[in-house]
Amino acid sequence: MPIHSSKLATAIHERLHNATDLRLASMADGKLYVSYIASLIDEADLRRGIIAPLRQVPRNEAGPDGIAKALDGRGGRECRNIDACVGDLLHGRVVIWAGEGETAFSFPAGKKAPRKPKDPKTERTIRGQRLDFIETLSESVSSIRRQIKDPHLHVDGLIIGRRTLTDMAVLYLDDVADPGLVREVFRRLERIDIDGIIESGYIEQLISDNPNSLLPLTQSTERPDKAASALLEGRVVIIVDGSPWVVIVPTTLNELYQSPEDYYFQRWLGTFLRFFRILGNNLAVVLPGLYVALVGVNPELLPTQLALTLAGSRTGVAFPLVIEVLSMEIILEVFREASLRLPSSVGQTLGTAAGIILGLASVRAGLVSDATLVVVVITAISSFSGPNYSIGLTWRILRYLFLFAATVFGLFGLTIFGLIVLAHAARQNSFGVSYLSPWAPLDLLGLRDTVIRRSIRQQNRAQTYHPQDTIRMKDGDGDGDEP
Amino acid sequence: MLVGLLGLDFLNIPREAAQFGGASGHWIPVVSFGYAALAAAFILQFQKRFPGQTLLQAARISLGRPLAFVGNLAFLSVFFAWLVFAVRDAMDLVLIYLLSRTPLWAASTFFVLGVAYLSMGGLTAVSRLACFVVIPGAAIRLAMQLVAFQGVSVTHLLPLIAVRPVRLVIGGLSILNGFLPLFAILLIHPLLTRKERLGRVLFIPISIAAIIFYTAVAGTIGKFGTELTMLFSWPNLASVATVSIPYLVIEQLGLVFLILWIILFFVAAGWYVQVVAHGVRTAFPRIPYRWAAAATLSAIWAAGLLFPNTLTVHSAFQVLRQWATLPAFFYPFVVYIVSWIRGVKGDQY
Repeated sequence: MPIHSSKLATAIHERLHNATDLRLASMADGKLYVSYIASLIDEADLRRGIIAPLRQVPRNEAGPDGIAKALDGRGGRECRNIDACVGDLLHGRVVIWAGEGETAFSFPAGKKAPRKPKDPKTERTIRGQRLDFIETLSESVSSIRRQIKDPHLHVDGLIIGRRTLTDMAVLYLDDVADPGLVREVFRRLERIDIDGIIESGYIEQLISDNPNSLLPLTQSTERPDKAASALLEGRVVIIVDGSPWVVIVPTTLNELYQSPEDYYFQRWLGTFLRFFRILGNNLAVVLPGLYVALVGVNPELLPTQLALTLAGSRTGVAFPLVIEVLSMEIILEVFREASLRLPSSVGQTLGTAAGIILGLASVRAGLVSDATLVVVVITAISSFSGPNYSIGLTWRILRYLFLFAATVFGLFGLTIFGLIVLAHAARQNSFGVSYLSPWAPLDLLGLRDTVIRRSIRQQNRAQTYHPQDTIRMKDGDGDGDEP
Repeated sequence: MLVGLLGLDFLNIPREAAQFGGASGHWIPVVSFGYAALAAAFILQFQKRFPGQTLLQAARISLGRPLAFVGNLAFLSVFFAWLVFAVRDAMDLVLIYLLSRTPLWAASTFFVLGVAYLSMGGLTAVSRLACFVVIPGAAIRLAMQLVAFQGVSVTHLLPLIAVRPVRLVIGGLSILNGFLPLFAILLIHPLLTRKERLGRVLFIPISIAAIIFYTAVAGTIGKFGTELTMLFSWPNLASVATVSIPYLVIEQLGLVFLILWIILFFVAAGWYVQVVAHGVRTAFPRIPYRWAAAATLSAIWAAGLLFPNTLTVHSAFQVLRQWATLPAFFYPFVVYIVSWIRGVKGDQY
């Protein structure tokens, strides 16, 4: 529908159903009109950057040329029809038009920052940035741009969601990322036809190679440094407006155990941290199962003294071992969920007090043994050792299946179920990359950054993501060893 | 390939070596390695004559369809029988050492379902899992066998040549079953399409496997002597099980070794099922791969439960491993020689 300036204000009001946050102002004695949605923009920035220059426009020049001249360099564009005007308003732009004529313009205005970046909540590190992504797309993009000031960094925009019209940005280094990978990311994003994208988690599920797999086949992070280092590896970052979590593709199981902090310390210190993270994660997955297998099914495999001690600690316990462990695990899950929603001022204190009191009371009441309590607490603490929340959730679910397999088949069940999980991982791909890479298929260069952290001086990028530019460090160590 | 070799040796090679070589049984893996190397060289030659084709396809060209059908079925039957006994023998081993109160059918069902899931993923999934376990698996197994050298008496391994050399030559053939996966590779062709990789795919694994087999035989015979070695059902396991590490949570090294072997066997069995299912599919092209794999596994599961006791299984499996697998080794030679005499070759890829 073409624009008739005199009727534009009415048309916008009708299209937006007289929204209460829709603002319309006239200037230059009714010769210029400014419209915007107050809830989407920073009004101080609007007054400073748009209204003030427009006030300088003489009355006799108050037309399309006057607007263009006054706001030159503000990134304006012409709205060709009413739909375009309404669309721009909904994206937080300011629409300006003259009272006569058939031209309207839209200009970007500073957006309301939902909050200031702060220390990431789920991916905390001792060393490294104290910043997370925030819910605004432009802020999230700028936090990556501040780290990678390379003209090869592409920031391609997309709008997905028929109703939410959610802005998204796809970031990649065009001379590093595999062009096939970039094409595949766009192909998967462009075929999404959904009414709304509320959070980046939607995108993760919609572009995943296997949405039914428990394993996370994309990586999400709230840390800009992690996203920036992913770009340097030749991966693609997807940012969704309104979400502080960005999505990184492709991903491998190996990536999900790496923390940016590993690379901020000297190589062997980083390796030390990584080793204990992997150990902690493995404990969190198999410890309850291993305990049940060794104490309940295969006690003959334990050293005699240890078997007797464990048996002694269970004297007087009313329940079978598996019920004991399972009930404690379930109670702990409930605690964990409840503690997320408790006010932070009381959450920690209440959690600690409840844990101690409940633990001691359960032991004294003969509901659980000391040894079981120790195992469950070690498991609970270990489960927080991994840097990735999604894989942590996966292991939390699998832990119960491991427990079940161990209860029925002991150590044999634990082994075979572990292999089934690995077989499942072996069947998965993330955007054409094997999920078990670099172990399978074997990539010797990539293997240098698994349990042992690679050297910063390593010359070549790992081949896992098929980078175009394979050289990371000119004159670096070909074999990746520290000098 | 290496996982296949290490997971399908059945911890039994020391007994077979002791049976033929006595105190000098430790030479038998060396002789067997020689045969395996010749076999690998033959596979390379076979690949040149029938590029990108499986043995079953090559047999049709060489022997003609009717003869090839019979020969292929016999070749597949050896692998199938081998798998039936292998799974049952492994389950007996598990029940004896780990699950004394669990019924055979339950453990067997659980294991077969796991293998089914793995093999249904196709060659890619099996190869990836094998890649994942191969380095730690081979390294830990070798380390454990070296640790098991404690208590070895050199006198048990002397004199260096304790039997007539011909016994060593025959003994080499008797443990050639340890290298059976080498010929299973002829049933699938994705690995055969890249000739430059074939040498690596074949020679490196058989060399590493030969070293591990040698340490197993020398360590076991050196520790127990010839007579005692032949009394054990799984002498390799018995040898490692004599080592204990106090204060370790599971202080019996033998059990850790057994778990490691189960892991290797699981992956190797998945690979074997996959290979046999591909073979079945080649022989009967109308059967889809998944159905072929499901049928193979169901038959393995059911047939494994038919045997009355461990002793029967163990004895029958030993005979199968020692002698009945030999025709499987010679069938590819027959196919090759007939094609050479007839002057026929495979289609170029």
